[in-house]
Amino acid sequence: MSNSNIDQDSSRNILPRDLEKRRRIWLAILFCLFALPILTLLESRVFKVGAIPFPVSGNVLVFTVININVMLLLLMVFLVLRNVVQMIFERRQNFVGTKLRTKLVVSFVSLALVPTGLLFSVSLQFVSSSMDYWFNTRVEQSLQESLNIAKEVYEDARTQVRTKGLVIGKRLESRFDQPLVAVELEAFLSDISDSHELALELLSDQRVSLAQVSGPNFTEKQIPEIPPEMLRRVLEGEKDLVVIQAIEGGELVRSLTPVALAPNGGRDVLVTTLLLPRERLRSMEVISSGLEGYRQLMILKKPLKTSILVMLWVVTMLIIFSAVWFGLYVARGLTGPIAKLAEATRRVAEGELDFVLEKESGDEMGTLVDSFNQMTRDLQTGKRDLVEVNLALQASYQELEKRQRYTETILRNVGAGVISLDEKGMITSINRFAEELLKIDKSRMIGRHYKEVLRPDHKALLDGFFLELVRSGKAVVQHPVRLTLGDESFLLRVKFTQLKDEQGKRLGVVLVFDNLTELEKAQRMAAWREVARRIAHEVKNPLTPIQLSAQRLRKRYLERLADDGEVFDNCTQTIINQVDELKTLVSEFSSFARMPAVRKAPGDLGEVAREVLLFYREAHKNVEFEDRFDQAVPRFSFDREQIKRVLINLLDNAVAAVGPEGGKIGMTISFDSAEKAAFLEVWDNGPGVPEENKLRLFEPYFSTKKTGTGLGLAIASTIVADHDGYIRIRDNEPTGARFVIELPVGGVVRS
Amino acid sequence: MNKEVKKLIFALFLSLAAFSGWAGSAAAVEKAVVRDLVVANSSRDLLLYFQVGEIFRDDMEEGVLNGIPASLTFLVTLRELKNGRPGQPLAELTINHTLSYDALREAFRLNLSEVKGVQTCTSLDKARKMLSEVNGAQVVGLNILRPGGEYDLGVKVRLEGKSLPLSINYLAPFWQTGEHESDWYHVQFKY
Repeated sequence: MSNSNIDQDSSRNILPRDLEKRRRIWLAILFCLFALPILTLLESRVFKVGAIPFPVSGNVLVFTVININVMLLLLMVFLVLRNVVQMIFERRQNFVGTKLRTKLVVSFVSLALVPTGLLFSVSLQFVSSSMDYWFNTRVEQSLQESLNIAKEVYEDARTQVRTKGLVIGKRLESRFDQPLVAVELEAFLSDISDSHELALELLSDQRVSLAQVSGPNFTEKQIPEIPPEMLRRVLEGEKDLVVIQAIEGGELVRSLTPVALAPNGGRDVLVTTLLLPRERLRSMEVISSGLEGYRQLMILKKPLKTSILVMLWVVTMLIIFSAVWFGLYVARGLTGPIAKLAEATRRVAEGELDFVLEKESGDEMGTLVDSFNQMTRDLQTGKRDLVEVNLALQASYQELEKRQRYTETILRNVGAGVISLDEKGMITSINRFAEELLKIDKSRMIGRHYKEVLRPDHKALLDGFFLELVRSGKAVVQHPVRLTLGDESFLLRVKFTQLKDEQGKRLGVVLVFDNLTELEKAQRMAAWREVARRIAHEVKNPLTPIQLSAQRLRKRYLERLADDGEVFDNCTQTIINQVDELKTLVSEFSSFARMPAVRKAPGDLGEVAREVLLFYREAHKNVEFEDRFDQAVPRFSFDREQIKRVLINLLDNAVAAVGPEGGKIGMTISFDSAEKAAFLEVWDNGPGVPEENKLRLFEPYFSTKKTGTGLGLAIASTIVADHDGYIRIRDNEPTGARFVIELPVGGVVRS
Repeated sequence: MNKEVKKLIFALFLSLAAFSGWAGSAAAVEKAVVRDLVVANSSRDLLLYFQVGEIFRDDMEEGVLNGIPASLTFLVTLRELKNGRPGQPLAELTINHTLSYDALREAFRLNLSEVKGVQTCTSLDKARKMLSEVNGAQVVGLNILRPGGEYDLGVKVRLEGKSLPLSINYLAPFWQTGEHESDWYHVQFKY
């Protein structure tokens, strides 16, 4: 596996795109931060410039600049919110590091939010309260009252000039009910004007000035003409008309009073003028302009509040978003390496041990990265070693298994029984031969103590072996043992071996036993055959001369010995008869010694048995013969004549067993397809075979009959053995004996 | 988040910002209307008469009554038409009307640049009328005009923005100055 690097993987797939995007976002945010104050400054310049030398309306330009500002602010908000949304999204997806990042951001925001919010609300409240305090109604009221007082001056002046105008008009009407003399009129008016500090002018309805005088305070003051509109209104009947006109030294409060001086009812207009000096007006104007200014500010109160609120809000949001952004930045700086480490850990857990995490900093994170890389290197080395060891172990295990299987195969197929016990006496193994021979279930014995599972006599046998091993100090003890298992008797050669390891520590014992039963039988049979051959050979020869001699003696001397002929006759006849018997015996012995080889040929066992039975049925009418021949027995290869001889021998014994009174004799033929063996049974209801005779029944020259050579069953046993079969003696139920012959069917011959 | 969704959100955001800007800007520009635009002449001069409608808003009235003057500027240009197209300006005239309220005297004062002296009146309606009317303003001397020539006279009205004492309006960028203007209105005549 090639060396891989988590950052190289990242860089191959993510770094160019992701870092580039982040860089762009950083640049955008920085641009916003710098552009905002510059644009704000530009906005303020735009306001100050007034007439803008641009081909677009100032309105549009200002709003464009404001909008750019807002857009930049919103862009920053968008970028920050985007990061927040991304963080929430990653948290839901359980990305590594999102919880820590969330905690950091929340902490930063909380740290920023609480004081900022507090400051915001306090500032807002303070500004609002201050503005409400500055612009409260009492201030306006006092200013208004001041203005009212100032207005009263005007009002007083109006009232004064109106009243005086009326009074003077009345006096004029009463004084001058004759056609007017200008000199008198002027003198009259002059007195009044001097005393009241007024300027008086009498105008005709044709706007001709009939008289004009002015008081000393009007010296060097240019009194303007009354606006024609005013004159017209007065002449039309409007009353109490007062006009205020500004002049250089102050203001003139002028009342227009209609008077009827002409005897024909013509109407004239008396203009009464009062001067309000500039100095007095100045104070009033100050009050007025003060109130004006205050009212202008009142108009601005609400927008000012709004502006302050907005600015505070913008600054607060800037602070909060900066906090969020800073939190995200710090969090990313922490969680980035942690996420990489977590990813690396996951990959290590999945088995990818050959990569290296890039160290990005020299701080504790860098130390952690170094330690992690060292750990993965160690793990990789360890894993490699483990793999090698595992391979070696596997090879060893396979070798061991192979040997074990080989050993088991040997044990399974060896022609000897093998039973092993451990040091404590627990049975550890039993091979198939032992299992079959001893007719035991291995599964019920393995792992159990031999004392728990063996019969008392067998247990005693084993105990004897153990004792002998201990006493003799030998490693191996060997004895022949005769065992009876069910109705079978075995001769076993048992070898009891102590097992020790290289250090001499005892590992247990192993019991190996060979079944010598058949060997013994064969040896006995061979020995008996040899004896029979020798006897036949040695005895046979002298019999003929003895018999011939006796016959010659009888022939020569029987007639000569008339009186003693009877003794001579008996003796010689006895000699001849006994020699005949001896010859028969010798002949049987010879026959036993020279039993012919088996010549197998396919045949029907049932047919052979029926043939033999037929003969016996005819020969022994006092015996009831029964037969049960299974039709399923197939044709197979056997020596017909020899099997017939076996059946004859068995039936002879059965007939002898039931006696001259008769009885019941039966023959059964069956087939075991599983064993692939044909079973031939010959039974009788005679007295049976005593237990002590059963063992020797098939030995040559063993007979319980008064007559007979004792070779019949031996010959039958030999013939059956030559067929690779078995012959056994069992007790018949209810009485009698049952001979069971098992013949292997082998290759079935289809007829 | 899906790339396409992100792009969509960003585009929507930009559209909103631009739209609000345009809407704001558009809202700020109200259209004053020039009516009864008449060109006449005296024995020596070309005279101009017209009225302006929908220029005076309630907040302006409040401003005037609270001492903030309302000021109208009328821009007049005269061009000769050559082959149906206006040429270079022959004359450009700027007329200023300013209305203010004297709280002390409880009278409205009007400064009309084409009339000498300060006009006063006590009625707001009359003051408004005087503010928005131009009667007999001298555009140019008749000797400038070519007999038989075709001319185009254009008029545009602009309501100047309010300014506050101590430049406090700079502290309230969201406070509307009230500046707005009309389109160009033209009248063509033959001399």
